[in-house]
Amino acid sequence: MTLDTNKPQDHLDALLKAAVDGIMVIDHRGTIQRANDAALRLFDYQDAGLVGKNISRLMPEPEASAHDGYIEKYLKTGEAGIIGIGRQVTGRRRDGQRIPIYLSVGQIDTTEQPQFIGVVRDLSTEERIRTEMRELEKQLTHAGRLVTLGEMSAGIAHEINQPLTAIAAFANAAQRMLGRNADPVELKDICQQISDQAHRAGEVVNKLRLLSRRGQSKREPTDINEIIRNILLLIEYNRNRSDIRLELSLDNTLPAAFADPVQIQQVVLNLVNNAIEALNTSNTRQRVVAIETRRVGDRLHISVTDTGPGVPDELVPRLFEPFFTTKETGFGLGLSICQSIAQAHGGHLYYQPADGGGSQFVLDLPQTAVG
Amino acid sequence: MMDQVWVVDDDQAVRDSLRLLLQSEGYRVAVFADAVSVTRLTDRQLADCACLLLDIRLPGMDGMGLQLALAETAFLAPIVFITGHGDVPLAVQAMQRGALDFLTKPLKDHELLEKVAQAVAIHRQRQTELQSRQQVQALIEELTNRERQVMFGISAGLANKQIAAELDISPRTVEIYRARVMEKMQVDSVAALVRTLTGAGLLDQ
Repeated sequence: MTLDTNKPQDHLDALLKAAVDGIMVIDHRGTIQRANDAALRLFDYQDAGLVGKNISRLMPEPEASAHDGYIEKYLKTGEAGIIGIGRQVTGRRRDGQRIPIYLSVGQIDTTEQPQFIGVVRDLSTEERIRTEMRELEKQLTHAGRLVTLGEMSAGIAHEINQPLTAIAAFANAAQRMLGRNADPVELKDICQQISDQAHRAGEVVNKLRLLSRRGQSKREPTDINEIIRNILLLIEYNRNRSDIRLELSLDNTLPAAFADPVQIQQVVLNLVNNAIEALNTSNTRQRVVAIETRRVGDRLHISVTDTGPGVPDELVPRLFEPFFTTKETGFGLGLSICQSIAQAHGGHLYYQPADGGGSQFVLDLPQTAVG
Repeated sequence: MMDQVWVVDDDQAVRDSLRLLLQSEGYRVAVFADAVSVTRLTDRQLADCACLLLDIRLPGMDGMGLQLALAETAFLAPIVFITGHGDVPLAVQAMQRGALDFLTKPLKDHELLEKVAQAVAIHRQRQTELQSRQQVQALIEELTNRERQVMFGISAGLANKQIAAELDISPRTVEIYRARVMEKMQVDSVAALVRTLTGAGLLDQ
């Protein structure tokens, strides 16, 4: 359509028709005076048309019923909920389906009763993307945990296999002894050992259950030092295997953090595994991983420091980028997930070179609000 | 002391239980918590071991490290690795370096005892072979250089004339050396001589 700017009415029609957002004009009773094509499309009224219908028809309950009173109240008191501003609201399509929309409303001053112009933008796509992102994030966090689990599986197998091995061998020995009128005292002792080892295996399983749990993040007062003690078991395997010394320096006066214990555990586990890996892929003579907790003002700091080669300066800015990795088998998600967990806790994760050339990662968390 | 089964595992419960199980089968058992203590033993002490049950994963020197270290000594006992599932690739590598087998934890008793029995049998055979090799070597020590040359000529299937030509001596002299070799090596035929030398690992089959 060619625009003739000499005819104001044509000009206006053309603009309304071309607009991507829905545009509607309503009078002081809420009756729709004009609606452009985009508005008709958005609410699925291409066939029926909107002019002459009440605007409340485009709202779900209970907003629809409340709307008439709303305009009246505004006209009397000048108290605006949305007029002159804009916000995300829910609209109702002709088939009753609810859609997220961004609505801004302006007042048109006329010589008679005021009219209102509403501009409506469809947010369904944005909303869907946001939902998908949230879902993806949840999956990534879960995937990250699975990766961690995968890396730990050898360690877990070992920790469970040790007591199982002992249980099986004790039981087999007892079986053989029973065939030869064994000393009851000795047999009793063996039974005790079997029971002890079964409990030992059970403890490992208990600690693991925390790791494999998926779902909504929750917040509770969390003893950070306890979390660190709990993961030592998982670290132990990799550490032992690589002949690495672990230095713990836990502040006993550390207040509780308001956090998701599972997620924090995951972050620390990731950092420690990274540290161990850094030591294993370098030829550093001194092989130490240090975990420290301390209070800094009203923040809690958990730092994981290694004596490895550190991160080259040029890579530091990319450390927390998703899918950035220097490892041959890595997904590049570990630190990025850790960072998003830290941020979701109102904290952050940062890197700094350690004294003597290694890496130091610090997880900074707020402590539980006092009182 | 003969026919000891040694267990190297860093887990006390595993050591205690395996000791008990093996003792209930009548074996003498010695246990070690790490690999390094085994490397500190003398050759004489190492000779007591008839089967080494070795955990792959150990603090400090690991099972593979101990396997390599023992290969440098007179250690004769077969090594049976005990591993977690995660260590199977390592165990395969250990097999390539001559381990008898690897068993995954938790161990099945009949499998374990079967392997131990097999290891002990192999160890006994290796000891017998070692003894006979030492005996044969002692006999060879008594031969003169010339006698040794003639002996290897005979065992290679050469005729007196060929040996004589090679050593630039008369066939008659070869005949005399030949009789002395047979006497000193305590055999009465060329076939018996070849058997003795092969058994001692001095000749290829």
